[in-house]
Amino acid sequence: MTELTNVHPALRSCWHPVATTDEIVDGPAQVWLLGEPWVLFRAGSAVHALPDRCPHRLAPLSAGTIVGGTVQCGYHGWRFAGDGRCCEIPALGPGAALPGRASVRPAAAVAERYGLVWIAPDEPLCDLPDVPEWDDPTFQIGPLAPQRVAAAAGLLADNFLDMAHFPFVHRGTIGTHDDRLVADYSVERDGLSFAVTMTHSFSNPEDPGVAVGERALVQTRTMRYEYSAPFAMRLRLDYHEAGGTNTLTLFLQPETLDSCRVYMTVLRNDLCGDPGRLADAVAYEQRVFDEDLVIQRKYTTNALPLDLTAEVHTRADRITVELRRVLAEVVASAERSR
Amino acid sequence: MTPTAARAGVVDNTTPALARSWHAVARSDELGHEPLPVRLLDRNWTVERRGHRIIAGPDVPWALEERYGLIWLAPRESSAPLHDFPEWDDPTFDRAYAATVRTPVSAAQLVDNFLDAAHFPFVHAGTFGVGESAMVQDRGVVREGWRVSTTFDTWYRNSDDPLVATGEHPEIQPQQLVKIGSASFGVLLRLGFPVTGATFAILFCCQPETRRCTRVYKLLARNDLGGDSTRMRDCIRHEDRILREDLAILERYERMELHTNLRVEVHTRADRLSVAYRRLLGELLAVENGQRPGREGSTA
Repeated sequence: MTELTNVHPALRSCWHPVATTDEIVDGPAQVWLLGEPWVLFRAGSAVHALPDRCPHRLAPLSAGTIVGGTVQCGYHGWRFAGDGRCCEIPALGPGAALPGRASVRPAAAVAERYGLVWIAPDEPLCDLPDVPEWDDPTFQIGPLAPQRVAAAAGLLADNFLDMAHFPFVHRGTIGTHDDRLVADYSVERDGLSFAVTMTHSFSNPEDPGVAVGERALVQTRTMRYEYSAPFAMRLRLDYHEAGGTNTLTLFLQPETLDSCRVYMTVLRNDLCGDPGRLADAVAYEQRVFDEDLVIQRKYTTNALPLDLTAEVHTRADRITVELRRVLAEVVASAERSR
Repeated sequence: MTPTAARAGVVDNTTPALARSWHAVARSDELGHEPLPVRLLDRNWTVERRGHRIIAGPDVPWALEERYGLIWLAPRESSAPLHDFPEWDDPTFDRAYAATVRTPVSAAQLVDNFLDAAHFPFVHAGTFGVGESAMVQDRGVVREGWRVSTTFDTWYRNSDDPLVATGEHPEIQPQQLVKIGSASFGVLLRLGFPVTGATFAILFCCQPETRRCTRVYKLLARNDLGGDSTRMRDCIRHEDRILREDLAILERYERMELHTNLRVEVHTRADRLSVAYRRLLGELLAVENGQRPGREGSTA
């Protein structure tokens, strides 16, 4: 396998976001992951995820209802508990023995984290991503509206981690002509995740301290990219002189071969709790992402190449080369465990 | 089971073996002396009246016939006969067409749904479905040639018996359903009502037009209306509502197809008629693939 599409079977052994938590009130709700429909529903405080196909007549369970903490198929009333066990077949009458084949295989793991519902269809090879800012009360949390993009998750992840496109794609926002040279950096690899840290100087005209002469215009910041397989990314910017941290997370849901749902969140501790400034920051990140989409939408391929000889990489691309290596490792590990 | 093996037994609206069946392609009242374009199994045909005959084009089908107010076409040699619907020609019966509708649901799924007796309390709660009909009991499934049939003894909510309003009859009444499914993409349903003594026969036929489009014809014949056109109009409206309830769940399916491989779905003893119908379709596929023809007259 030399490329990774949104429906690659190895991705079954990973965590994926599939909905925002507030989209799953009671359910049943249908979501798509890796080209397959799943039904999500709440029983008590827990969210459950089952394949969205009744084993009887293959009707979508999401067209049914929630009855006593189980999902009931809308066609013949078969009921399924959160663990996939079939607990009622009305046509057989009360107390009938139920065929073992009537049960469905639930997702191996379900979790609610970072305002999202996550599922791993098979036992996940690695943990959920780590976002310490989420649990830090000094941070304001600003989610962007989830958006659906006709693109490969692998290519969107590649674009988020890429450091050489700012002056070309982001001329209207973060990119400046002086940014063309990508400074040397190294990648810290840890299992199926990695990080890159770079400290550089930049112009900070938005700093109110610059206007009043408290601080110089050219300041220093540390950028840290963290990635964890398959499509979880976090970019943290720490401002040395002006202080404060600006973090952006990007989580991708590979829905079908041609569709991806994008969840982005801004986490800031430098906006004095001002909801208006947070809304501005969210809108700004949306503009940056919209610039990315202009070019991402023009791709005619729906896969990220994992074969490193398929593209030309330079030393500026170490981070995205590592992305391909980790995903190739995911593919190899999933195949070994199968 | 490999994915390829599962695909092998799939029936949808473009399955070539379906050309070996009779299909309703138009209502008689739609047909004139101009060629009427119709679609069947993703192919274009025309049908028209010429004198007292009807003819089809552009090719000559194996058979073409007008019966029960419908035009029937069998593209290739069919061993499955046309449906028997004696009530349609019985003068003691009032007859009518319910709405002719189009849906993306495949013909095989629609026939399967019409044969099924286990969905009433869930799909038809808004019309005739009642909790009393949840448990399904058939009197044994019979296979005769290219037909499968059984009788279900069940319960329903009677919404058109005038004696329910007066309290002389209960609202929830027993009913006897004789269901005859045919490889010719239709079902004859004969409803018997012990409380009122009436008989109501429905011929339900599905024309697989294209991969994502089926046309549904529902012909009604009942012997308890005494020519009362208002009651027949109410009956038609009721039958249209019942079909819409079925389509509401069936149109939620992602894939419009039916599996003749019995391992793909889970079947229970309440599904014996559905299983027999899948076997019938499986044999139609086998004939197409040059395998031995179906067993005749055996009990499923």
